[in-house]
Amino acid sequence: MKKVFQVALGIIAAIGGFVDIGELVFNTQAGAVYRYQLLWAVPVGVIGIVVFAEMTGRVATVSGRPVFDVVRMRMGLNVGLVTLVASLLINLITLAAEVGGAAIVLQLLFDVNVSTLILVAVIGLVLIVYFVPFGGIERIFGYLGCALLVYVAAAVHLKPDWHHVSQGLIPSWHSSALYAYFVVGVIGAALVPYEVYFYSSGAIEDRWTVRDLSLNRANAVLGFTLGGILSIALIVVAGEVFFAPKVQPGYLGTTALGAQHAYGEAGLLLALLGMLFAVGGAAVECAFSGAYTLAQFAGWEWGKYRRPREAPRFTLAWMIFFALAFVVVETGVDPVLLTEYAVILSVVALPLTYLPVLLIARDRTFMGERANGLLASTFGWLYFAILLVVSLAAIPLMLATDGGAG
Amino acid sequence: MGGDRMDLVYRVLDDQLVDVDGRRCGRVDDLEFEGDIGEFLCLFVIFSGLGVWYWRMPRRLRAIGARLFGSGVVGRDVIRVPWTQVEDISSVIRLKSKARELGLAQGDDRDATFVAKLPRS
Amino acid sequence: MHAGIEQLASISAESALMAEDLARGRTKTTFVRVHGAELSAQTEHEAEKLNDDPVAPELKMPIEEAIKLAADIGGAIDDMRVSPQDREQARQDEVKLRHWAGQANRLAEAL
Repeated sequence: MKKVFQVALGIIAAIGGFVDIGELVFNTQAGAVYRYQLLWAVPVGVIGIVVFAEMTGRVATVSGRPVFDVVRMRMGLNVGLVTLVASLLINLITLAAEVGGAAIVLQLLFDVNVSTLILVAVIGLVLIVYFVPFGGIERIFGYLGCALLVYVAAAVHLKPDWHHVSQGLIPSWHSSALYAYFVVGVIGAALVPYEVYFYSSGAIEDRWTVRDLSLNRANAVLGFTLGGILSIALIVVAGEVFFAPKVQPGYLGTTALGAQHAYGEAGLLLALLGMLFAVGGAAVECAFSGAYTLAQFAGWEWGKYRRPREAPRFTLAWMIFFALAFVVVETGVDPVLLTEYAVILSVVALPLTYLPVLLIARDRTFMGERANGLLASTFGWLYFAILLVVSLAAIPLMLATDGGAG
Repeated sequence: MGGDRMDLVYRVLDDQLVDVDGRRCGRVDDLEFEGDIGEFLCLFVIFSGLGVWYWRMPRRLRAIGARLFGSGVVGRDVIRVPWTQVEDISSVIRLKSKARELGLAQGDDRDATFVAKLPRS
Repeated sequence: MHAGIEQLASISAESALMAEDLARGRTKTTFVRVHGAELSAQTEHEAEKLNDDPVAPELKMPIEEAIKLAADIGGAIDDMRVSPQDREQARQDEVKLRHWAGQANRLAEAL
């Protein structure tokens, strides 16, 4: 019974922690422009992150190696350095987008100058991360991020044509660069690498053993899958509210308007609360992810479970990431624009971290009997192929469509 | 690899160093062998530190690498760890001594004095 | 230019949705003011772009019509922001904003 309860709590935290500003932006835009025609891309992204997260969690648990330890070991210094620099830059852009998003949501709630709120958001996040234990951070942001489930309720409440919704889950194709761009964006928004770096480092922080593998596999599969349902709900709500009047969402406020349209003020408040904690949680994961990445690559001591003075460079790294993100956002750059760049660039860099993990996950020297079986290998290589295609297409499509403007 | 054979590139190079107290203290950034031409070579020293990185980079990038990561000054940005200090090779390279005694993790020791001033550190 | 007018149509349509919720008392004042400010600023930005971009003489009239639309749309949004408690005004703004959204879409299609 205790295990079931643990799994349930872990799943709830994973649902609330799944959605970040990338999903909020891309899925709303996808629904507004193409109604339900891009729904199929969500499960593609979700299965991808389940495959990637399961492998990294297993590798971390069995071999004691988190992602960037594997990258350094398998790719060597030079290719590893390129991967590291790319990952850190993308992490920084993503973190800035999340911080900016949190500030915008606070402004929608309190109507205070956004510059002040950026500072409030950064200070608040730094204090929470510094003083609250790892498990507490996961729970705060995960549970409160579940307020976004209002979109699942709204998707049902708005009474969409379920036949068309189900048709949207069947892969379809349009010979349009804009459609292809949104396919890349929706998949990329689900398959964000920082979540996987955080997940694999978390496996070591939480001291998973081989006995925990089934439990944590359940968390990953169920949590990400149910989080994917949230993503689908965002598309359906946007499709119902914004497609017919031809609204082109360009703000987080537009996403919130979808929930307000279904449930009025209560819907609006739940949406904003959920967004604040989902985006805030994503910011924390991003900052940690950057610090984990750097520390693991360089071989420094790392871990939230260590006292700050026992892992000083790791501690300073995540604080500096927050400071840099603050500087980026304070320049006035649009967080929605930053999000689009972050998602697209993440997709481009993803194969660089995916491949070393896949190679180690199938290596019996490190994994013993826990190496990839037939199913894991099949899905692993299938997704590597998908990621390669998506990563090669991402930047040309972004340029061809002027960042999704058409 | 079995018996007394080991793939040094795959199993040792770029691996995590951990001291006798379980503290992470850098990576195996390079290896040095001892022996003359025509003689048996034996693994002599582990190099650890960012100062090693530049000489592993492509030739054209070495100057930039040296500026960014250090020019390999032993005792400052490069530490020589005798191979005899290696206790065990598993998912990490376990050492027989403390990091401080070997001159490793100096960056963490230096930054710890600043971080120690933070509350509840 | 075409994209700019489509943006105006989008902003007008979105503002109409906001006005609908405002008229039914189903929103928060802070949301209307903050999100309304974003939409209003974007309207002004699109109008400036339309004004500043060089155009062929035969397109001068549609552009002027689009700029006037932008001013009307921005005005209605600002009215909602100033008096978010005035539901009757919100009801009227909703009708106008939907009409302007349609107008802007037709203008964009004609270009």
